[in-house]
Amino acid sequence: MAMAVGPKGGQSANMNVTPLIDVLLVLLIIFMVITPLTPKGLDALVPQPPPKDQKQPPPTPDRTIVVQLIDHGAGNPPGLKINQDEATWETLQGRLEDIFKTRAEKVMFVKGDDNVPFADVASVIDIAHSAGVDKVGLITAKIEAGG
Amino acid sequence: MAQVNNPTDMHDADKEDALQVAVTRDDKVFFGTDPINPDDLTQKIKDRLANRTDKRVFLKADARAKYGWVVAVVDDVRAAGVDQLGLLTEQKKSGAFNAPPPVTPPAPTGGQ
Repeated sequence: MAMAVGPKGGQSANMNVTPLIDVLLVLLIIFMVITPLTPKGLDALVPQPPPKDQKQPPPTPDRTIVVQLIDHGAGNPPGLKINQDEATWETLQGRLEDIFKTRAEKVMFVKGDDNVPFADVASVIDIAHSAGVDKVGLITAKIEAGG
Repeated sequence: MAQVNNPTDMHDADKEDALQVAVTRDDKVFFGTDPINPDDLTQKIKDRLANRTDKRVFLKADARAKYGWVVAVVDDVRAAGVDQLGLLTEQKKSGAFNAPPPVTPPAPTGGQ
């Protein structure tokens, strides 16, 4: 009464998937390693002089915010000034948030002494962006000279 | 490159025709991958931007480069008519040096 189906001792129908999985994992690791890193950065603006035939009204000076980095010698973190007021690295973000809370145009300028490392200037721009400032302008020597 | 806490993604900097200016710690300037004399930078960028609408240059400066030198290069870039600058930076890992102070949690309300 035995129900013999198919020939006895036939080939097994199970596929050996282990090497396939091995190859798959290796490919996965390779693609993880070569994932392109998206470049990251900070947006900054450099003001262009207005066209010669067009007179632009100068911005009201009391509304312009300039954050200045003052060199304190190598090894010391540079000092900060918001317009003429001293500021510290810890309080900079809070101060900027207070200033720009009530403003529609969130524009700020950054100026730095020559010997300040670029990393500190980048930190200031970074702090400004996290304080909600949309446009950060760099003040260069020529801009300061009025060109 | 300088490390900052919250940079934005700049996909355009990866494009073939992106203009990248690099400033090294020892005051050398590179345009793309070629070293260049800063005096020639303005003309070169002008040529490359001549028939383009997106006037944007990416600046990759060493974290320890003197800002005075970086600004001098920015001035040269600006003279070419560029007003948008992308300062390429890296995402800072935790344990930051110049980190902004942590946000203080709001005072508990309704407590006894």
